[in-house]
Amino acid sequence: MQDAELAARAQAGDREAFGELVTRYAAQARRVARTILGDPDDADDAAHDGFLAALRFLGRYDPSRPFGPWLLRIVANAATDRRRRRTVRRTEVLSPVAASHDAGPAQETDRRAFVTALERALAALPERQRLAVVLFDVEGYSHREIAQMLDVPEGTVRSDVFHARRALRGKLTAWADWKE
Amino acid sequence: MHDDTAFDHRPDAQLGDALRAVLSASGDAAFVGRVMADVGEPSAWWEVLGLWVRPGLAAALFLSAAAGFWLGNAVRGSDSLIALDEALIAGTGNGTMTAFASTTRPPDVDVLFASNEND
Repeated sequence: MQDAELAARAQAGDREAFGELVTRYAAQARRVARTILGDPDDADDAAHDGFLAALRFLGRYDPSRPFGPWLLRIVANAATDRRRRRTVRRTEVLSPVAASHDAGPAQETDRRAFVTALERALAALPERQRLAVVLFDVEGYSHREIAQMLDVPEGTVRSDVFHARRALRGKLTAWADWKE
Repeated sequence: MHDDTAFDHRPDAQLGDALRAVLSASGDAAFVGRVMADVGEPSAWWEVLGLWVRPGLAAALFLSAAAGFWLGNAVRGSDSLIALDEALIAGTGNGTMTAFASTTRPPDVDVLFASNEND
């Protein structure tokens, strides 16, 4: 069943239809929220809020357009709101400050070290660049869809993806030989 | 990761996989369960009706009180006592008779005698 049909049923009160949408987009929504917030628990709270907000606003969804970008925009807004509200607490996994004081990737050789370095490199990027590269390279959305989600021109998205990729690749040069 | 231009319009699968590994968390099923728990079960009609009983009763009481107050004012207004001196001053001859004829209440005797004394 298509997303638009599920959305229509969910709006009419079909709980199972909404559950199917949540199941389909849970992983994406959690990743997008984590891209903004860093902390996995905060990200889950934001994604949770985003899904409930989407349910309330289903009447505003245009079924002629893809559901994913519409939903992820709501989730991203929920995450941004949460980031603005929250006070500094517990260590953030994706802290930009930590990224700037990285101990040097050459000393670590295992995969976990690679993941840690990538986390930090990602955290060092401006939020919009993080979102752009994650939505493009991880979630597979087009520049146009990302532009609609982030409410910026398509050229800005292309530029953000470019800069984010260059920064990530630059910081991960030491792991150039790391291949799966 | 690709070494070609970062302006490549195609997703970088290798970078995407690496970022996915960083950002993905386990427990998608638990997350879905948590969201759906807050969505709640659809309510039966009598449960919905039950939720509206108190506000409905309060609204009905308020409307009844407002209607009673308005009706009381309207009745008092139409049956109010007409002072004879006002009727005599307001009109001459026919006006006085009209005032007498249009009221259902008797004239105030004191006012009537006072008016005659003045004449």
